[in-house]
Parts: sequence; C-alpha cells; structure tokens
Amino acid sequence: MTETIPAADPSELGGKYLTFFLDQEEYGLEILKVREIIGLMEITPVPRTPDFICGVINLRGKVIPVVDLRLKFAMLEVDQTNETCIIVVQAQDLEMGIVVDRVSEVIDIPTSDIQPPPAFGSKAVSIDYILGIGKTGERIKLLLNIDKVLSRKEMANIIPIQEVVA
Amino acid sequence: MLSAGIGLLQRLYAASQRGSEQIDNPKLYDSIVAHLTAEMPSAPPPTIAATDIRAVDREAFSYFSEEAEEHLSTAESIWLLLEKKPSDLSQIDTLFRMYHTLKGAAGYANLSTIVALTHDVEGILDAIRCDQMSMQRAIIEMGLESIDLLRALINHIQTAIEGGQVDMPSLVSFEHQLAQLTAQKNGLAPASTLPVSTAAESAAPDQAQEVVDTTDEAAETPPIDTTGLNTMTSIDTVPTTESPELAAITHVEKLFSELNIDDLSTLGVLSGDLEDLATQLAQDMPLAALVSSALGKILEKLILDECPVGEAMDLLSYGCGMLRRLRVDYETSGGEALDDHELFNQLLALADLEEEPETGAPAAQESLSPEAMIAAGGNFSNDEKLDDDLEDEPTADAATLAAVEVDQDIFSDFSSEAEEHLNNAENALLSLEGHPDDDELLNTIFRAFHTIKGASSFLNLVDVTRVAHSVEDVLDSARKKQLVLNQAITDVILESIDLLKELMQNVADQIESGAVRPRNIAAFVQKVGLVASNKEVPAALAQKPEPAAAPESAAAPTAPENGAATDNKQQSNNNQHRDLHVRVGTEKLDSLVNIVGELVIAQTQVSQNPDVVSTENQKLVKDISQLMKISSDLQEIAMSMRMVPIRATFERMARMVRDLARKCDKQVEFSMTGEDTELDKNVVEEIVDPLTHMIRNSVDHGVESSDKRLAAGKSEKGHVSLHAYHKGGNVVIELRDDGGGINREKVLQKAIERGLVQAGDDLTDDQINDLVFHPGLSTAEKISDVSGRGVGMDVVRRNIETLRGKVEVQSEPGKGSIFRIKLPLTLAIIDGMVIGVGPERYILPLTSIISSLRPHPDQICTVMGKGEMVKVQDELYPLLRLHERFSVSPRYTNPWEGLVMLIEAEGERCCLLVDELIGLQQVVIKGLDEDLRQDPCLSGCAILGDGCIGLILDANGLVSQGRDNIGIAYK
Repeated sequence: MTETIPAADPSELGGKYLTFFLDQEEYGLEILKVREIIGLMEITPVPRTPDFICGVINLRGKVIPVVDLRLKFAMLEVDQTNETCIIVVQAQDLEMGIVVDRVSEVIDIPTSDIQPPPAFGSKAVSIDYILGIGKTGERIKLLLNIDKVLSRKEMANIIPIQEVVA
Repeated sequence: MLSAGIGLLQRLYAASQRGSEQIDNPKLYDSIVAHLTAEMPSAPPPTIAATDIRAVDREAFSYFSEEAEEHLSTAESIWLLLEKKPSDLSQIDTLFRMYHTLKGAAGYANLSTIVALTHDVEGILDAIRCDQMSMQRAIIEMGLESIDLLRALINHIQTAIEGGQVDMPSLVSFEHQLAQLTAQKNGLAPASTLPVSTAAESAAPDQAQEVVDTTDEAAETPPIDTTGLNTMTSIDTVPTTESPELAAITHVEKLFSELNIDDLSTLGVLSGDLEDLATQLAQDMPLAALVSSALGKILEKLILDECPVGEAMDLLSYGCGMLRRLRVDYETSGGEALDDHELFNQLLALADLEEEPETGAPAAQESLSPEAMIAAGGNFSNDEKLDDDLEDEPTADAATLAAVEVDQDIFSDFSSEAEEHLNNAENALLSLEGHPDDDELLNTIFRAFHTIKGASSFLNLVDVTRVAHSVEDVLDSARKKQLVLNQAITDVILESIDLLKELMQNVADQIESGAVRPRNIAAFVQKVGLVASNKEVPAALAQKPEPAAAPESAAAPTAPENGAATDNKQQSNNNQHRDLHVRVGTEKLDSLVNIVGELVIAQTQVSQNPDVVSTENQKLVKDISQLMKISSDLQEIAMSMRMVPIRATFERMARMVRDLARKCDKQVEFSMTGEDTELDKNVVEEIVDPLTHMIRNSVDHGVESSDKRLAAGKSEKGHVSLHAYHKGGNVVIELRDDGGGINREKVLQKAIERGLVQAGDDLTDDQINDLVFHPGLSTAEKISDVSGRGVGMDVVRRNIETLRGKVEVQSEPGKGSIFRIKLPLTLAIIDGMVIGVGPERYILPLTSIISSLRPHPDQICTVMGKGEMVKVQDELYPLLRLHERFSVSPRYTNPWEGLVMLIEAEGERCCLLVDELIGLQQVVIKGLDEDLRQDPCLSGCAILGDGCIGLILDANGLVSQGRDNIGIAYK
C-alpha cells in the first residue's frame, strides 16, 4: 500500500524556486520560504540530537538549528567544499538552516511544468517530502516540501539515543 | 411562583458564591441561565452582554481593561485591609475614587453593565463616607464580590470581543446582595424611602439592571450634597460648612502655594482662576474680589514681563495672605476688613499700572462696588462687557495689532498648548455626542476653553479671548445644567474650535510676515450668544429657575460641581501619572533586552579582537573602555526595566488566603514583608502558580482548625505569611505557616510503601521533608488526611526549577513549616564559567560551582565496578566525564591530567571531568529549540565572546546523571 499525500493543489505550485544541489540531484525550494543564504560557519554540535542535525549557529544573535540535508535524506556524507553553504529557511514555525552542496539559481517554474510526484510502488522512496517535479530547463527539479522535511513532528520522531550507562 | 422564585434566588446565590471561586465553570452558569429562562419565561434572557459588546469601543476597552486590572487589585487589597480595620475611613475615600475612576473609564468604553455595577458600589461607599451606614461584614463581602464580578465581566467582554464565547457572569446574586445593602442604606438615610427592596427581589438580570437605576436615584437624591462637600473636604481640607466662595479662595491659595514662577502655563491657569474668583466673590466679598482680580492682573503682567519680578512676587505673596485673612474674617464674622491699606493700594497700583483704558482702572480704585470688581477682574468677565466690545470694533483691531508685539517664544508656547487643548476639546466634544450625560467630558471641554481664554488674554489676543469666552459661557451653562447641549450648540462649538485655530494661525502669520488678515469674529460671537440664549429658556430638566450663576443660590449645583472638582483633581493626577510612565509592550521590552545583549556581545568581541588587544594606540584603548562602560550601563538599565515589584502577586495571595480560610472554616491571618522586592517580570508571572499551590497547601493542610490549635496550646488564629528578600544575588520568597508541620513518619512510611526509599535507609529530617516534592507522593488522597503537604508539590518544584530557582522546606512537627523559594533576579543573564572539553566550550552556571581541583590518582576509586568516585575531603562524589557524556574527544582522559569541577544542585554534589577552565563570562541566555534540548544536562545556549555558541550546562541534570552513573542513592 502506498500512501500518497494529498498532493497540494498543482495550480498553486507555480512560481519562483531557489534550486540547489545535493550530490547530482537538483532540488527546488519555494523562494518565499528562503530567508537568506550564508556561507558555512562554525556550527556548535548539540549532544543527543539526531545525526542530521549538525548543531546550532549564531545568526546575528539568533540561535538557529542547522540540518544537513544529505544526512536527512540518508545520502552519503561528503567533505565540505567552497561551495557548501547554508540556506536559512522559514519552515512553518521555526527558522532553520539547511546545509546543501551548492546553490544553483532562482528560476520561475510555471504550473504547467510541474507534475505530481510519482507514486513509487514500494516504500523504498519516501515521497512525502516532495511537492512535485519541475521540468523547466534541462534538468528535473525536485520541489521540496520543506515544511514537511523540517516539521516538529519529523524532529520529534527521532528516538532518543540510548542512555549512556557508564 | 413566588416561592419558586425565592428558591431559585437562594440557589443562585449559593451557586455564585461557589462561582466566585471558579468562574470558569460554564456548566454551572448554563444551568443558571437555563433555570432563569425556564422559570421566568417573561424575562428575556440576559442580553446586557450582547448589547454591550456591540457598543464597546475596542481600543478604549483595551486601555480600560489594563487600567481596570490595576485598580481592581488595589481595590481588592483595600477591601482586605478594611476587613481588618473597618474603622479606617481614609481607605474608603481611596476605594471610592477607584470605583469612580472605573466607572468613568467604563463609561468611556461604553460598558454599561460595568458602569452600573461600579456606580452601585460607589453609592454604598458614599453612604459609608457620609456616616449613613457603618462598615460591616456584608459590605466587605459585597465589595470583594464586586471585584470578582468586574474581573469576570471584563474577561467576558474581552473574550466576546475576540470572538469567543464565555457565559456572561451572573449578576443576580450580587444585585441581590447590593439591593439588601441599598435598602438598608435608604432605611437609614433621611427622607429617602424608595421601595427598592421589593424591586430588588425580581432576579432576572435585565430587571436587575432596572433595580440599579432605581437604587441610583435613591442614592443620589438627598445625601448627595453632603457627599459633594465631603469630596471637597478630602481634597482641600476645608471645613464642611464652607461656602463655595470660600472653597474657591482656598483653591486659589493652594495654587499659589504650588506656584512656580518659571512655569508660564501654571501662571496662566492661576490668573484665569483668579479672574473667575473675582466674579464669584463680587457680591459677598467685594474686597477679596478686588484683591483677587488685582492679583490676576499682576500675574498677567508678570507673564508679559511688564513689571519687576521682585516687586510683583512680594505683592503676590502679600495678596495671597490678604486673601486668606479675608477668608478667615468672612468665616468668623461674616464680613471683611482691610488691615493694611498702604499695601493694598500698592497692589492695586501695580495691577493697574498699565491697565488698558477700557477696563476702567479708575473705577476700580474709586469704589468697591461689585461692578467695579468685575471691571477690574478682566476685560470680558461678564456679558454686558462683551456686548460693549462687540460694538467696539476698533479696540479689537488695535489689540490684534498689539499681538505683533507679542514675544514670539511666548506665542509659540501658547499656540502649541492651545492647539493641544483644542484637539482635546474636539475629541471630548465628539465623544460627548455619544454620551451627553458625561460631565467629565464636558469639564474637559470647559477647561480647554478656559485655559485658552486665560492664556490668550495675557497675550492680548483679544479675538481669541472673545471667542473662547463666549464658548466658555455656553459650556458653563451646560455644566450647570441650565442648558442642554444639542446638535446646534455642538456645531457652533466645533466651529469655534476651527475659528480659534484659524485665528491662531493668523497671529502666527502676522508675527512672521506682518501680514494682517482681519477676521470678523463679532458675528461669530453673536451667533454663539444667540445659540446660547435660545436655549437659556430653562429646559424641563432645569432644577433652578435662576439662570445666572448667583453664588448663594448655588447649593444645588454645588454637588455636581464639587464632584467635578474631584474629577479634575483626579484627572490631573492621572495626567501626571501618564507623563511619568510609558506603557510599553513586553514584546518590545524583551527585544530591547535582547538587542542590548547583542550589543554587549559585539562590544566584547571588538574588545577581545587580537588587533585591539595588542594595539598601542592609547586613544583606541580609552575609547573602547568608554564604550564598554556605556554598554554595560545600558544593559543594566534595560534589565532594570523588566523588574517589577512582587507586591501584586503577594496581594493576590492575601486574597486567596482569606477565601481559602473561609472555605475551610479556619481562622487564618495573613501577613507579608518585602513586597517591594523587585524581580524580573517573567519570574513574577511564573511564580504565581507555584505560590498558589503552596499557599493552598499551607491553609488547607498546614494550619489546623481552631479547636485543634487551642488543644495544642497555640493561638486560635493560624498565621500564614509571605516574605521576600534578597540574598546573595538571588531573591528568596518564604512561605511560613504555624500549622502542624510535616508528619515525617507518615511521609517516610508512604515513601517506603511506594518503594522510593528502602526501609533501612537512614534519612535526615531534611531529606524526608524533601520527599514531599516527589511526584510519587503528590496526590492528596495518599497523604493529606494524615499530614497534609504534597498536593502538587512536584509541580511546584518543577515550575520553580524551570525558573532556575530552588525550593526547599523546613518543618518542625507541631510548630509549622517554612517553604523557601530561591529565584534568580532575572532569567535573561547568568554568570557563567566557560569550560573547555576537547574542541567544545560549555558554560556552567557559576552558582552551581563549589570548587575545582586536580585530583591525585589515589583519590579516584570505582564503586562496585559501576562508577567512578572522587574522594574530596573525605567525601565521595560521583565522577561524570563530560566528554563521554557529550561524545566529544577530549584532550585528557585521566582526571589527574584534566580538571575536576565539584558542582552542587538540589543539595547533591557531583564531580565533572573537563579539560580546562577558560574563564568567567556573563552570558545572555538563549533558549534552545525544544527539539534540540533532548539532553537533560543542557539548559540552553549562549553566544560567547567570539561569536560562537556555547551550550549551557544544567547542574540538576548533571548531578542526577552522576547519581545514575553510580546507581545508588548516596549522601
């Protein structure tokens, strides 16, 4: 049984997207959710949080958590490069940074170019995070449902790491 | 039917008694309303609230509710005070003012129910003030009930405005209570016997509303005169027998005593008042009138710099003294006599030094007839004079031209002030259209015109004075109820405001460019006179046939006027208050504190910059240290802005003790000290819940019933007290009671039963007492029957710990208990010790650090192979390796190479292994996102001097982690 999310009304999906790369895949973020893009800075790790949470950064006096999207999507961890950067997004009620390999461009994707996410026949790929697939330009862009990716529920689902008993 | 109704009333009364304790019981109210509508089909359902809400001015309401809460809590504490000392009548005045203010404010916001309610209570208080009623228990009950009801009503309206649904609090039982009191009052009051008591029996809210009205009338008819005078007494401290003229003199005397020669506006007001006084006194006390008008003139001259200050001041003080003597003379003998003719003449001479020809100075000196008084009193102190002026067009022109010579500074002061007054008047006038009965609004308008008149006459702005004066006359008649402000009059007054603005603009232009723009104001003044005189025909309401403001016949209007004086007084107090305080949203305040915190961090970053540290530029070093000083000052101020006294919370508790004691049928006295101790606003807010819990415990379980107490050889009354004081950078709040104390045996027995401690464990008394905070022992059924204590105490501890505070208990069986809450002054900043572990830095709150040491390898031992212990001064403490706990790679793994910190929390100790101590730093605490705070050893984070983030360690978490590591309870 495949659970398909009640796909957001496709007619609302058209608009500007900020695209970035994770490995070879190109993802799109609704531009209105993006606060700013900053270079990689020192991240303070927080103990007992899931792997994909890198820690917290000081964004001009505000402390915001940073999530490594590669780890979140269970992709291979790679070394940081000059292009690695943090996109600060406003996901629902919390501001967060996401670490991505590199930022690509801002493009306009018309609704007609967006098709709903494919329903994979198995649980192999979770499509909950995908709003739709944009076909503008040469490459396929996976439009991220960032609210879902960084929702409190997602964060709270994490089973706390076993107590360390000395 | 009647018996059914009475039964219903009783039920309702009882219900609301309960209801006042828990107003949020909608079922109860539902059933009341249901009963009401079912049993009395003729009575419409309570619609007061509904109509209320539509008419409510939202903005006004928001101000009102804020202000009301302040007044209500003050009023509440006064009621409680009165309960202890019923004879303290001075408090009644204060209380009366509170209700009065509330009433006024509610009226402004269109809250008719609240107006009615406050008005009723006011009526009762009035009766007490006038000795028509004595203070009694029922009245205090009623008062407290009224406060609860008002709170509930405000809450109700608030929710309704926000679109929510809350049942209208039932006013029925309260009205009943009130009606009984009113009936009693009327029974005692002379010559007022309205059958209110029967009316009061009808219980439906809307009818109750009517009851309110009838009682109003009953309350207002005969006693009001004395009331008015009483009000006067409390303000001006003159004998009650005094006539209005004398009161006016006292008023002026008072103004003189407060006179500040540099403050032109006060001078203006005073001079205006003197002028009024002169007219008022003209008939009975010609001498005083003359003196007063002369004084007014001198003041005027003083403002215009036309006479030597020294001489003027001498004469002013002499004149004031003379006024006083004249008043005393008049009081004692009914006549008046001069004692120093020479000075008197001098006074007149100075006053008339440069008298304009038309004021007829010689006349003033020639005789002391009333007419002359008026003439000396000012250009336009009566209507005949005005009419003369109307025909005397050239004079006005000349005067307008004279304005050119007016000092520009003075004029700009005047015009900005006048502008403000005009705007106020305009607003008030507009509101007055909605509330034609609001005397306060009318007074505001009157004052505005009066002040403008006074001020403009010093500046010789004849046109302005004339217009203002003509409008003032109209308003005065309206004030005296000889005139009803109808649409036409309102229009004219509005027009006059525009005209005055225009005139003022003209003068300004004239001063600037010399361009004269004559404006014929005569027509307008005539129009005003016409409008006023048309209505001068007494309306049906007019109580007096006599239209003129003849002082001796002023007995009837005195009451409202004196009432107005109270209002004025109060208003001016309010204004002063407003000038001194600015209401700022907490959100703004919080962000200010945050930003200042950032500033301090940025400042530290700059000063710690290697380039800056190594600089040899002395100027830079000096500038940076100056910057440091300023920013730390700024931080201090920002922090202090959030500090509020804990008084309000304590007062709430006082009320609660009282209610609880009555409910539990115990006699409990409450006292408090240190209620002015200041705490961070957030802390004060958060402390209410735990304190409530604890007080409930103390009264409910701690303090015994009177019989038991007597049997135990204690005083009959139990005593519960709250104390707040500073101690070592913390604020301590103590709750003491002299009740039975904690029954340790029972607690211990319970704890053993529940497996919290082992039967053989040797626990100290304090440790046993501490068990009451344990969640397992928290429910009432388990323990309270025997020893009490423990209801929700775990919640108390948790709440206090989230405030980074501590709570502990001391108890002596049979003698009572002391709960001590230790709280940080502020939640925003802590003194922290920055420690390093591997690449990471953590912040440990300084308050939890006992010492740091580098142990010898012999000091380390393991216990049952389970955990490491460090022996420090013959005591063993568990060792917690921070790097293990936080999974970081440390520089040192051996305790004798690194550093061990001994920390304490909740009376337990633990050792932490760290790499190094980096230094002390004050840090602004930032919350960690909930999702990130999975670790109990962390309490938040802070930005360090270099802009990086350091995690703040939680001592409690660390200690319990250390204990878990060892796996045993230890000492």
